[in-house]
Amino acid sequence: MTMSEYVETQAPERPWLRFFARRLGGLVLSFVVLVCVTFLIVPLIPGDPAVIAAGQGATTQQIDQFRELLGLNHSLLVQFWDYVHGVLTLDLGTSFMSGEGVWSLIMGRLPFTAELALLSIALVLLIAVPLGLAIAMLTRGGRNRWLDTVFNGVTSLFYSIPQYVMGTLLVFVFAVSLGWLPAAGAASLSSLILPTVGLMIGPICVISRTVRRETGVVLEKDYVRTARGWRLSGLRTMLRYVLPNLLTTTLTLSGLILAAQLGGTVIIETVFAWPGLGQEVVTAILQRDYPVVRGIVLVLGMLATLIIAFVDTLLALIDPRTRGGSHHEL
Amino acid sequence: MTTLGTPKRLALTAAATAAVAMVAASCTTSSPSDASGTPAAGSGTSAGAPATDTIRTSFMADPTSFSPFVQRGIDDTHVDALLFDTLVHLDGNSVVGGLASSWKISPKVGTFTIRKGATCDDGSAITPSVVAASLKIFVSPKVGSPFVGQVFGQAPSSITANDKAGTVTIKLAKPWADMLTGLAKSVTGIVCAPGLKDPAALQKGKVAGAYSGPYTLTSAKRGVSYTFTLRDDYHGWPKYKTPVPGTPAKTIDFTVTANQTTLTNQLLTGGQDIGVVTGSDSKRLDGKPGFTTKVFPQASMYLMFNQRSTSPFQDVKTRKAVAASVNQAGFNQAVSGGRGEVQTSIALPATQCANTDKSALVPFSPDTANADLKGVKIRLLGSQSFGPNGAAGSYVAAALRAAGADVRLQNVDNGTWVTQGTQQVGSWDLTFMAATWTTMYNYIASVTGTPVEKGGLNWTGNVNQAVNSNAIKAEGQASQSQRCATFGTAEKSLIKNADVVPLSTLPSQVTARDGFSLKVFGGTADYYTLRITG
Repeated sequence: MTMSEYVETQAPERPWLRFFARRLGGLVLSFVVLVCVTFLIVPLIPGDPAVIAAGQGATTQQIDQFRELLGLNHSLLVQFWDYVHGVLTLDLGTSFMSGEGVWSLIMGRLPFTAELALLSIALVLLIAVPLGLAIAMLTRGGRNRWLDTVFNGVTSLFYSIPQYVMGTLLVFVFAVSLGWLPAAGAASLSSLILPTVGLMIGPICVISRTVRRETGVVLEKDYVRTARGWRLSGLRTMLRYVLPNLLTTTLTLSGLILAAQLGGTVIIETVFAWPGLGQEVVTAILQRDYPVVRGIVLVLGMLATLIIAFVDTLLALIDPRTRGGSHHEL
Repeated sequence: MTTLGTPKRLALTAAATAAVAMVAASCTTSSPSDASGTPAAGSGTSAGAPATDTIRTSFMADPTSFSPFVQRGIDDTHVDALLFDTLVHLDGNSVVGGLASSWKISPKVGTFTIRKGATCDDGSAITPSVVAASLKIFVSPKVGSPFVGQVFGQAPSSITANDKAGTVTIKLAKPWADMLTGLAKSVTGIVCAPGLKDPAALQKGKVAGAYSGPYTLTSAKRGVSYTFTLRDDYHGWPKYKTPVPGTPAKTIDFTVTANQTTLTNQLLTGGQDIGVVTGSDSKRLDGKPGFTTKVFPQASMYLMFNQRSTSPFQDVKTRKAVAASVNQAGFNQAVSGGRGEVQTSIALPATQCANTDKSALVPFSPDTANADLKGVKIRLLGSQSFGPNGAAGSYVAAALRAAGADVRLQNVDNGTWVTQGTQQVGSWDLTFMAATWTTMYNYIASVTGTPVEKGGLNWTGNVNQAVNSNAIKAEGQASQSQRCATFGTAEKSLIKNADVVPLSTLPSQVTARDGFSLKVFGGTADYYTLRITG
């Protein structure tokens, strides 16, 4: 009997306990899977870390010396045990290349990635939700068809532009041609603008389109018509009747986007020389720096899992019906 | 009717909310690197000469070490050139005194007189004992530096200091005429006593008093920036024969920029003062006012044949057919857009004794190649870093296929290429080398010396004793003309026999905004020569 089954049989009247037990079970399972996958997948990358660490021109003897130093001469089982023991004691090891602790390396880079991802998701929500609402209101009941066409066209176009093309375009226009903003780096506040914009354009398109569609559906509901019949102001109608109906979809989508952005800013970080975890993991893969690759993937994986669990909890608070984990059926 | 007005108000409200929120969010975001900031000089889009005492430049990747004994990448060499002084420095094709004010050199013994008044960054004197102690660590088996061979041939039999006479004497077990130029490499940088006592901290750049060079490391933020500050008490700048104009910067700020397009953008927008640009992006800087550019050969590219029993290239006719089917000029065009140099040697043009005799090359003749290559199965191993998207591999594969060979190209990343090339010697038949050795001996040893499976540097498995004997003999010759004649015989024999096929150089480009300069010595941008000239 699993923990969640036990809780269900013992305390069916405690939905929050059941909810948290399920989420906790999911987190533990995700953690176990992540630990195993990160350990097993990294050695599958072709290329010997000892050869790379020893450098071109190293003799076989020197390479062997490095292999021993890096602990790669041990059996896979011993290496796995060391890894698991390290993870459980919060010791992710040291970088093969720099000798720096992996934790300190991650802690040095994570704030940059988090800053970029959090700022972009905040701006995405602040722009996409009002934009989607506005478009839905303006095009309600078949009005302003041209606006609907333009909105659909523009969002489709921007969504289809790959991130590296968008990043390069932004640099070309705003840094190289106009000289308004820095082309790259993280030296000043203004350096944050272009990578953030590059990161948020795609999600703005997705969320604004979703909000527009959901709003369109809600606006046709009887209770909204009734509200308007009571001559409630547009703002009140929107806040009281429309927005709550959008929360579930928007929050779910935003959680997924934020989780994806934390681990998926590699391209934007490369284009803008942004010193986040994405750049670090690419360098580590090229250098076959196993502890760094494992550490970063594990931390990003756990962060994504925690974000999704947090969003689920938030949704459960807002709409208790989702505590059962079947809000799609509502 | 109110139905039209309501949605409009809502739309305006929504738009206004979004605008205010955007501003608010931007204002409350903290700066990612609030402590460092960039110098004001040179910012903006114009590329005029700045009034500054700071140089802004970049690393391709974070340095892996701040110890000269552990160098794993080109950026490590730049760091060490700033932090640690060497006995001599490169000066064009010769050397000039560094920590050594004078020297007596023979292929087996070097005696160096240490400059008086030289100090470590904690003010302690750099005596011959300090120099000898550091060099002993560099050559020790415990450190296992792969560069010992390039500097001394093999570990010296003794390194002794005479503090009274102010000299350090290095005695070699076997003659090595390249010792003097080898001692200009930053791997031989002198580490002062505190650094030798704590090698782990030295590697992390956290030992005060370890530095003998002109700069100290004052800030290191991984992935973001590294700041080097000029020592007030450093007076060891050499008197170069090659002009090195300008004054050393008081501060050198490095950012980390891996992507060459990004680096070029930063140069063009005034975000950096000097950069070493490789690949197709270097063309974007051609003829730009306010910049000086210098293209230099960064690596020498040549074809190497696996001559073990698993490969078809034990047969000299097949090797010559490959050499005849590859057009050097076409290869150069594919790899660097024609910015490299077609080679007559396997060594970089700046290498002493590199072959310049074209007659040694197998002439380009695709028609004659056809007969010997038709149907031959060739496993070609390339690296993605050789030319844009591994163009070197694609070009040679196309040339061999045109000659009728059955080619399987594996264009992999550098880590896989070096692993496969050295550890899985039965998995490939033909590969490239983009070599940056500093001595002719090392170039020759890499194609015909001790094979990798026996602990050597030679990927090909071919051991040509006559050529090796000549290379060893050359290193024992004090006269440069004699040495070059002997190396010439050895290298030409390899090229004529198609044991190796010279192709072209892989170029790089130093781009400096007006008012800044950086010299290239021995095929490498020498960061010890970073200067402000404006």
